[in-house]
Amino acid sequence: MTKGKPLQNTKDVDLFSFIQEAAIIGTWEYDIETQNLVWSDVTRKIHEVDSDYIPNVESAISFYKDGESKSMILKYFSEAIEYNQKYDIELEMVTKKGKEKWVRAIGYPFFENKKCVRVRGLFQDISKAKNTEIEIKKLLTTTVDQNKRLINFAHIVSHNLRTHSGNLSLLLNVIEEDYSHITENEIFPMLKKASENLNETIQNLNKVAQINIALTESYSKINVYKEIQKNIDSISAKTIDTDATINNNISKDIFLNTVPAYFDSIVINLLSNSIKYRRASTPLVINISGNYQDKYLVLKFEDNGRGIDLGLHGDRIFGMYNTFHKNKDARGLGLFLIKNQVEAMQGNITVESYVNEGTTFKIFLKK
Amino acid sequence: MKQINTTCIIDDDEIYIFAVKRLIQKGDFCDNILIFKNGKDAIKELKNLILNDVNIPELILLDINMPIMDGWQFLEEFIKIKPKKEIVIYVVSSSINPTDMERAKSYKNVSNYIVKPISRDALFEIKKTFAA
Repeated sequence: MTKGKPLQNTKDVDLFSFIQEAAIIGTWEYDIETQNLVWSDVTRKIHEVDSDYIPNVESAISFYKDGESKSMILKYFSEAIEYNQKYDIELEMVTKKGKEKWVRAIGYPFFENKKCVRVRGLFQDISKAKNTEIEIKKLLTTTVDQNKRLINFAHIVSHNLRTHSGNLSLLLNVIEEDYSHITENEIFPMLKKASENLNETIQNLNKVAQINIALTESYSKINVYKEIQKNIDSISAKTIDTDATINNNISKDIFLNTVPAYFDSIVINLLSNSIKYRRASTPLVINISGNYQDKYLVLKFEDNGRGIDLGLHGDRIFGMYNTFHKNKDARGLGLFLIKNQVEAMQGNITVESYVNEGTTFKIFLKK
Repeated sequence: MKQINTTCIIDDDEIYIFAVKRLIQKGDFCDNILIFKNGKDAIKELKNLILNDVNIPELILLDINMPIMDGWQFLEEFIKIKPKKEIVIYVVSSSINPTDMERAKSYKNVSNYIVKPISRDALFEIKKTFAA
């Protein structure tokens, strides 16, 4: 298939429509000179229009939801034609039958003699993934809320409940001192015992609540070199299998106050990603280094793997369920998780990457 | 040897006040008891007493969670008074939260933190530090 030319070979066309059907990805093509817009069958299906529906640019754009989605498609589409900028964006639309959908709209302009002649693009129904993402974000908010409630609960246990149980034992003491004659029976010692048990139970309850709070945010001091080495060792089976070299160039005297569970998760995820997305032709080399920048310790994870087209995927790279390679075990959760963990520690993560050259992640962690 | 003539209890819990009063009276702990239901009433009256130099308590038993002005706010205001006579403050609270305990210790006016229920023994220990 020649770049920018329409499909001609019937075999290609068959295969192409099969791929479209299976992945719910439609195609479209817009010819600047004739102003003809052509939609594939799948693109029509996503829009829920009849097979003889003839779109034009205006009607195509009218399917997008008013507001952010519509203004975004207008902006990106005109920039594609004007400045030869490709785009890959997620938008909301409403089909002919009134159904709301999330779609991924991709557009590639083709220029001849510094003028755009054609825009060709993909159109994918991502409602399922998008709704899952929204659902998970909701769950995340719920978890945060529940954590807050747990802290409140710990406070209620620690203060309010203890106030009452404390008063109970205080009053029992007063009775013992002032009215000792009414304590000389079998009930009073039991009452005292019950009050002591109540105090103890509340104390234990408070401890449990405290641990649960602490678990989510317990910082401790680690030696960065050692901690990273520990993680490298833990995936040594994979590295030997793949003939990968991991160089831990962190200075051995760097210490960091961090949440160790998060730190380990970040290191493991970055290393596993590098291994997963290595180039078949070149043995993988990962270089890990660290240096101080202002208030941060900056950890650099540099590999010579397949790289990611950031021009295309840049803004979505840390999103949920986004994968950029054809790996079967790619889940797209790793980078999302890392970003959240880094941000939970008031840090930051950046990425630099070039296709077929490699990827560099920088993790900024508070000193 | 110092003595406790007047103890000031700042607490909104009536049962606690009743019981502590009882323990104090029974244990021959001190002669007078001043009681305030919140920090604001306490600070107002203490300012007066210090100004007129009468009945200034030697000891304050201070609760944390109170309406209107809580124990922390009371401490912030109390620091500003700077009485000539030393007034010992014990924080007495139901809270077993470590952050409350540490916060209490961060005030140099606060001698110690007692977890409720306060016992006769705890009062006895306080009296001992005065006698020392």
